[in-house]
Amino acid sequence: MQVGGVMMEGNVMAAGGQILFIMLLAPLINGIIKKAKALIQRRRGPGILQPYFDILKFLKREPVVSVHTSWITPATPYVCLGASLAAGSLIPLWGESSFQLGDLIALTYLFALAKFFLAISALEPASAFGGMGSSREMMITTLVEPVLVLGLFSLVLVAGTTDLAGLAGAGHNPAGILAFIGLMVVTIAETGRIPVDNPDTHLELTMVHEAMLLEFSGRHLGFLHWAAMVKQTVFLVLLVYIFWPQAAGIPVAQAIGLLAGKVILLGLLLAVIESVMAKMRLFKLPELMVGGAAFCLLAVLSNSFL
Amino acid sequence: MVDLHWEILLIPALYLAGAVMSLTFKKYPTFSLWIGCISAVLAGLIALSVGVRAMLSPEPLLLSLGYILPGVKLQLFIDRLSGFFVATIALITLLVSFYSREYMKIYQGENIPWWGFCFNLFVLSMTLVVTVNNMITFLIFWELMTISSYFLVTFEYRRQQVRKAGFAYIVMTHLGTVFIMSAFFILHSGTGSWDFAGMAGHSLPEATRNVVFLFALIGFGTKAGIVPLHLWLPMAHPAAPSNVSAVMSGVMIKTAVYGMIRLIIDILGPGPSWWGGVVLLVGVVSAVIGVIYALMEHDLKRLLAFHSVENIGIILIGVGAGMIFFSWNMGVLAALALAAGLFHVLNHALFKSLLFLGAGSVYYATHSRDIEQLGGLIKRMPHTAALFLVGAVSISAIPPLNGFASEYQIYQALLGISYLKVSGLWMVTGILACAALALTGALAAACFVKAFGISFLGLPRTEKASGAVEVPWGMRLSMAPLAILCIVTGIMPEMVLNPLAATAGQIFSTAAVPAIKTYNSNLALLLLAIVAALYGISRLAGGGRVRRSKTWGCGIVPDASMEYTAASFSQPVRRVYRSLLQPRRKIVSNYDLLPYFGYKIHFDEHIKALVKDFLYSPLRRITIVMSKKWRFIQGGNINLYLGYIFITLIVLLVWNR
Repeated sequence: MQVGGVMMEGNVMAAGGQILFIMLLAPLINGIIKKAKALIQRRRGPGILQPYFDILKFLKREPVVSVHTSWITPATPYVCLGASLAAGSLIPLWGESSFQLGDLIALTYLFALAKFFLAISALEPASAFGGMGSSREMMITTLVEPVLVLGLFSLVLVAGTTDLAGLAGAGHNPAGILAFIGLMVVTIAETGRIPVDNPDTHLELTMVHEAMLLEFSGRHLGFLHWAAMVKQTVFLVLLVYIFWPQAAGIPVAQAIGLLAGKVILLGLLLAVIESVMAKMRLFKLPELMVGGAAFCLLAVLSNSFL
Repeated sequence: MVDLHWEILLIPALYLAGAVMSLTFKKYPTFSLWIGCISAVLAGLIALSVGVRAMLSPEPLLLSLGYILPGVKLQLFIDRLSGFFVATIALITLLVSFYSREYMKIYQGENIPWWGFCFNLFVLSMTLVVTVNNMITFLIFWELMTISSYFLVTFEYRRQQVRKAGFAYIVMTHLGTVFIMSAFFILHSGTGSWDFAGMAGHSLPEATRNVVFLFALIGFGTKAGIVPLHLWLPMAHPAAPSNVSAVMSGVMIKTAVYGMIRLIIDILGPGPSWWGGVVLLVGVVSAVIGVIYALMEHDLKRLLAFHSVENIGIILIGVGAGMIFFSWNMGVLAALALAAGLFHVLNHALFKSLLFLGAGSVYYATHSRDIEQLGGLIKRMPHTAALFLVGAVSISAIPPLNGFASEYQIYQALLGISYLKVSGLWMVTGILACAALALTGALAAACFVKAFGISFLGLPRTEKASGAVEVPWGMRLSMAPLAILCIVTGIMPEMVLNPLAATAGQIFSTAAVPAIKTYNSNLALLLLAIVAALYGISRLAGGGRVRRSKTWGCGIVPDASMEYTAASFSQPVRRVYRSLLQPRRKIVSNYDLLPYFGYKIHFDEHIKALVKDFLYSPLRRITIVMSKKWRFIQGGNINLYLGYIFITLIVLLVWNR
């Protein structure tokens, strides 16, 4: 790294601040989505701060792990949360960093790291549920990943770079609408929401992500829940960053507020989608993802030929 | 460079000495094995240093060893490209040789001196194949490589399965060799030269060039294992001993990539852009088909063999992208794309030989390759498990390891095609190839979650697995450098990428390629910092206590029969991609009273091998029918055969008058 000490310090501060911002924003987004869903269903629902209390409660508890596990199970919560946060810190929310930590490809592949570790650790306790979740999750990944790349790269085509700094507002054009729809499908699948997965149940017929978490408890579970919320927030932030850019040169405090507001609006959209749809059968998912892929492909085609 | 010469001569001398000594001391198998392995290790060390120096030096190294046939000189010509392949071959084989010293002990009673003889010859011929600069000598060593590896594949020749695999291997690769020879002979008749340098730089008619290109692609593609010519790979790899598979999959199939680069790019020069398109398409198809069949396999080594098909595909994507840029006359972009492909050659060599050696260690400890019989090995073989995990993460293209580093470069090469906006079609091609690469990565990750999770985690499923003990130190110590290199090349790819870009630049004879800068080290540092901070904070806040208890099993004490199996793990993928895989399942349940209380359920599921059924079976049938039609000329009478020879001679004399 050829940057001077002071600049480097500034960059580290900015990255650290961003990590904290995403870490603290994530439970709030989750709380708001839950509250919105409850209101749509005409329930009162828990307060929007409830996820914070849940995480705090989990973090205070001692984890119980299966006797069959090795070092992989205790390491997984840290790897998952760490990878998700690292992915979040790559989006240059407040100005460009002077040394590159990663780009769009790194961002998507960091989530693969988290997924890989969660999937293998689900196989560790030798219970059937974990294996089921792990197997389904990896199948969904094989459907989601190409669509994600197709959607994101339709925008890369416009920007001419995979650098996240160059991608700000790359989707702010008519073809972007197509990519947005496709990427919204991906976001639903990646964050484990209805119609792909149901975050609220522990029924073996429906669960994917929750099945993998079944044998985790206490602090470990808290970290994994937090990681899932961070992942959801990172996806929403990325969508906002690409499709709904901020005006340049506004003060930092205002920028943070605006960004949070936009992310919350997108979260509300997720809540509405989740409320009006039913959970799909697992083996109907290819149809949904092919639909998403079609939109992304149209975005690629219109960016290539028009 | 004169001082290098005697070192280079030492390499073949050591391999030959190892081969001869193995046979000489066959009365003392332990010593024979030792001398065979040690000479290969020593020769590998020298070859590694020669290869690395040749790769870093802009001046190629020329060493003439005299005439071996009238007009045919045995000449070693080590430019950067050859240096890279020599170094890769040497690095992998020297570690594998070290590993073999312990591993071969499970083959007590087999002909181990013969193994030592063939192995040394095999490595020697691979090293020579990538260094000679004349097509006659190339074909001689290519053949020697095929034959010596055939004997290594059929090492356990008493098993019928092994003999069949060996037969498939030798027949298919020889068919490939026919195409390579034809390509060379066409080139010779067009240029009048047997030397690579003499063949380059001639302007041949377009049609001839196209034929040579296609023949080279088919010929080398057979050895590399591209779809649909990959059939021998998943047969030969499980048949061969694991250390041999590690070399064959790690480096031997890469000599075919070398051949393609040398013949198509270096000798033929820039072709039309569809050449690159075809290579790209072949790469994409091989990658996706290879990995999806890998996911269906439960034999650890067949699974890894299918992953070789996948990774050859990924390498060819890089090579194809390079050829496309080359045809557009963009040397620097071409060099970057080819460098990405070559980087994946190295990375695949590292993680695939690591994984094959890991599979060998599992076999050593459990005598099983079927992952359905394994489980819980991480407790019994913690070091092997950790090393295998490094390989698994690498091959799944997950940061911060090396699989990600090279696939990232290939993504950039493909995006480069799109950025140029040559035409809408090429733009879409680039992006679609990226999506295929993403699909490949996701399927590979699913496959290795299965391979690692089912065989190393959970509870042991059989006594073979529960009785396993960690393998000897010699085997672990030869896997460790591979794992470390997977991490190092993942974190600091510039170290390898920049020399490779210079190598590729030399082939495309382009201007200096700008230094490649990557963020991989920053990313690794970031990840490490965040994970360490999370762990540190949670420890400081009083965490760290962990209670151990039994897995919750809905009131029953869970045992290994309740674990997810490999077949159940891959079921969702099998079902989703059923149009390609065509699974057929048969469930027979026996019950006394009611269907709900079955005491024995037989489950059987097969996938259809489409390539075999729709391409090879008809071909085989046609061959047999044709042979039957022509059987009458084979009378069995020796006078008749002499007559045939005489007539052929007359015809040739008249024709060549």
